[in-house]
Amino acid sequence: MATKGTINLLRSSSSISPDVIEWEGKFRLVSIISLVLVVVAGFVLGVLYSVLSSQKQSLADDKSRLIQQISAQSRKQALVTNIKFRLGLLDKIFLSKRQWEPVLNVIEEVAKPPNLKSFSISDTKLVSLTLFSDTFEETKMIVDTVLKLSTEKKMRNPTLETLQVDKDGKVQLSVSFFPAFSL
Amino acid sequence: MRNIKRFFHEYQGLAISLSIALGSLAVIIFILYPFGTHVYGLYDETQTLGGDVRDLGATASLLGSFEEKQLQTQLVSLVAALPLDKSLPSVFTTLEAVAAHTGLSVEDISLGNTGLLATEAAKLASAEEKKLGVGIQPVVFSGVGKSSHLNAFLGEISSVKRLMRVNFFDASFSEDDTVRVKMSLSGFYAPLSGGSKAGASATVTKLSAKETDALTTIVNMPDSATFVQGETPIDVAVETFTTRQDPFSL
Repeated sequence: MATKGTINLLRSSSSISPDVIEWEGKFRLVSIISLVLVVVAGFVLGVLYSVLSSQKQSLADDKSRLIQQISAQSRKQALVTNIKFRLGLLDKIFLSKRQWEPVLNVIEEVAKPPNLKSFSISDTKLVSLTLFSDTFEETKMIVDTVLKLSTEKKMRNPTLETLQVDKDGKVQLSVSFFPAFSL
Repeated sequence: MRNIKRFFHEYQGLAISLSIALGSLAVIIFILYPFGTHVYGLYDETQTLGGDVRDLGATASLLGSFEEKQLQTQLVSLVAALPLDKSLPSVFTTLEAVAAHTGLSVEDISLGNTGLLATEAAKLASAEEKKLGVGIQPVVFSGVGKSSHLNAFLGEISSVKRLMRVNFFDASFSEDDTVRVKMSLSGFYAPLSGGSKAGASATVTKLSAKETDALTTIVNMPDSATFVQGETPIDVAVETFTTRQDPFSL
């Protein structure tokens, strides 16, 4: 029992609940961590900014120096660019060229003048031959040669277009085929 | 009022911690994150600049290694092979010179699609012109000679410096082994590229081994003047031409 005439200024118990005290501790930890994080991140970002800024400036200087250096050689640059450009075009043209020698060899294997009267090689690579022979034996030899070349895969789709025999027994025939190789 | 003071007094520690945490969060959201983004952007810019500097450095050092006079000679040779315009005189000269050199007599040379009625800009490019990226001048050539002359002509015309391509042809033989030939050819041309206007930022790469080899072959190809001067005997010339028709082939 309290003595009369005395005052107890201290509270006998805290009004803050233990839960709040526990939360206060947690918040203190969070606040310290976040403060440290802010300081460290700020410092790192500051350093990075400073380093990158100076690096960027230095690279920009290098770039403008190199551009000046290249501009001084712009004539050479134009020459090289044009040489490369034309070489690219010439490469395509060479690839589009046709090799006539192999097809002329095949035609020669089929027949030579005077048996070979004419030949034509069309844009679609169709080879047409007009041939003459004095006898049927010669004609048979020509046809056999065509079949042999076809078997040897030197030509594709050999076709006997026309066959005419005149009153003297002379034979005129037209043969067409596609070379089996790319022209 | 007294209660409020008492409340703040009691929760002072919690309030300070909470304020610091929230303040830090605000600093992160409103200051550090934008600053970080800015630093990342700076890093990106530095990387791009670094790449540019590397390319420009390589270009500058490569350009330094070239001899301007040699480049000029090479380009002149390439322009002789692939003229800037139709260059009709060179078509005639080349065909006549090759025919004369190989023994084929010229009967007729006619040009198609000369473009007299349309300007180059108005002329529509054919599918093949678009595919190859060059202009094509069609030419029809008629000539007479021996079979061997025709073979030599076909070999030389595809190997002479002024590039021409035989597209298709007809040949008919007479009793005396003469052959009359009519062929369709293409003469090629292309204007200069816009390389001279590309500016310093355009990168220049070194010529590849294939390009260098092709360039050397084209530079050394005979032109019509060689035949006119008669410096190359036909047998040697034919052999030289037929050995390698495509300088780009490996």
